[in-house]
Amino acid sequence: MVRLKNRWLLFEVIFEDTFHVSSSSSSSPPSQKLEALSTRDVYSAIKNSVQINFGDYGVGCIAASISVKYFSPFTNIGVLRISRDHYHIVWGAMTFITQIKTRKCLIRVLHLGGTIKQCQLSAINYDRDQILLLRRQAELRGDTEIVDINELFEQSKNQIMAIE
Amino acid sequence: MFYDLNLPYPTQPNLAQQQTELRKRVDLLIKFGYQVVAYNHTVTGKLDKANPIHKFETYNNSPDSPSGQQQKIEQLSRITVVIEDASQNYGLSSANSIISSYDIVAAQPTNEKIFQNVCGTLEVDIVSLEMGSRLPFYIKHGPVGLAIERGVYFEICYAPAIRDSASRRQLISNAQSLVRVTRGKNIIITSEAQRAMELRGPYDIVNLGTIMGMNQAMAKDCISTNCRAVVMHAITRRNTHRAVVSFEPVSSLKPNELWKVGSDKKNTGKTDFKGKSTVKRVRLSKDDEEEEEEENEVEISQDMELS
Repeated sequence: MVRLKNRWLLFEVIFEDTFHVSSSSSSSPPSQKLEALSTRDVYSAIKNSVQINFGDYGVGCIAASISVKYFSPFTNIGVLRISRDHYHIVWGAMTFITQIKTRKCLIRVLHLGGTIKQCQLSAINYDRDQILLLRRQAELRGDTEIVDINELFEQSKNQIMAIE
Repeated sequence: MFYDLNLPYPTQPNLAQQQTELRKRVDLLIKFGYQVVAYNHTVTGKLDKANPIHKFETYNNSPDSPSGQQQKIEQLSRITVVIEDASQNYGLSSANSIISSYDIVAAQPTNEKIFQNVCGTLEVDIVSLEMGSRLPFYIKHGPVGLAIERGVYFEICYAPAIRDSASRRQLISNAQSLVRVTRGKNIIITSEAQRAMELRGPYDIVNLGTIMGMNQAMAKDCISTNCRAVVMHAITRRNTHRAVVSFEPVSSLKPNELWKVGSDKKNTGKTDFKGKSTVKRVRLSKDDEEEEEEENEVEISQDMELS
């Protein structure tokens, strides 16, 4: 019996309306509440893109094994599983995504791994960098609000390690 | 090192909006881990305007980097000349001061005859084809082989494929035929992104390359090693004579290198040599005998100049 081997993709969604907030302080983003995405939205966006770019054959290949295991609307990173034979189809389809629901965005793959463990470690590292970055920006703005960094680290670690 | 050798430069760079849009794109490239970017200026018809490209001063975006270290990106300028008429002389040589003010020179042929001409004779670094639309000619082995022999690279721009689905089809088809004809050699992948959202991360592009018929190693070379070769090709084209001899002023020599012009023995204390040029040979093999010979040669010539 041959084992079904998987690939785990750690990806980041970058939105057009939020990614450049830090450098251009003059054009502050509108304060309207942005629509948060769920795991389900990301899943259907990827599946649609596979349908458009790889057709029925592509959807047939991936349908059995694809699943979006995790997506965090706060840090905009997610983890998905796909069988090893077809990961390039999914990855290619993700590259061609320009919009999820109503928001313009792009998807970048941060890590491709054979086990979920490595993806989790990579995700934790990424989260830590993001938290440090946000704190630096807050310092530069002169925010005096003190946030316990270690607590945030612990939170993100627990969340990511809970993925099964 | 990842390279993006085609970032369209705004047509009206003075407009603040276009400037921030360009900055957005460069910021995103830095975030993705690119280390070299080339701003592209496309010219159709005559070359009469001076180089419009102004690089950002000491580009670093320290507030954005997580560890607080400065991330820098090297900026180059590039001109793409659209060649429509084979009989017209476009002045594409390093003697032309407008051409030599750009770091990289690319040519975009519009028919088969010009394509052959560009591959075979023109002094350019990149052959750019508009792959988002249907090519007016087949890419043939003959001229392509010639271009590979001369070290000229072919360019695939991926942004049209992200923009809409019709050009995606065309691009995949054109890119696959280019990969087949070149056997995956001498290809670079660039963005040509008009907006920041059309850019993609380096490894996403590597995966895109596998869709276009390359393997992963080849695709990675397309955005790293091959692009470096293009930049080096451009440097040798601009700064050397027939890619063999380069000139440097004597004043640029370090004190321990002054023996090369023989000034440590006879001319100590003299400053006659300042400003004069010395010839430095670019040699592949270092042969001691030859080196001595050359040293003598240089000495003799210097003596002659003095007398």
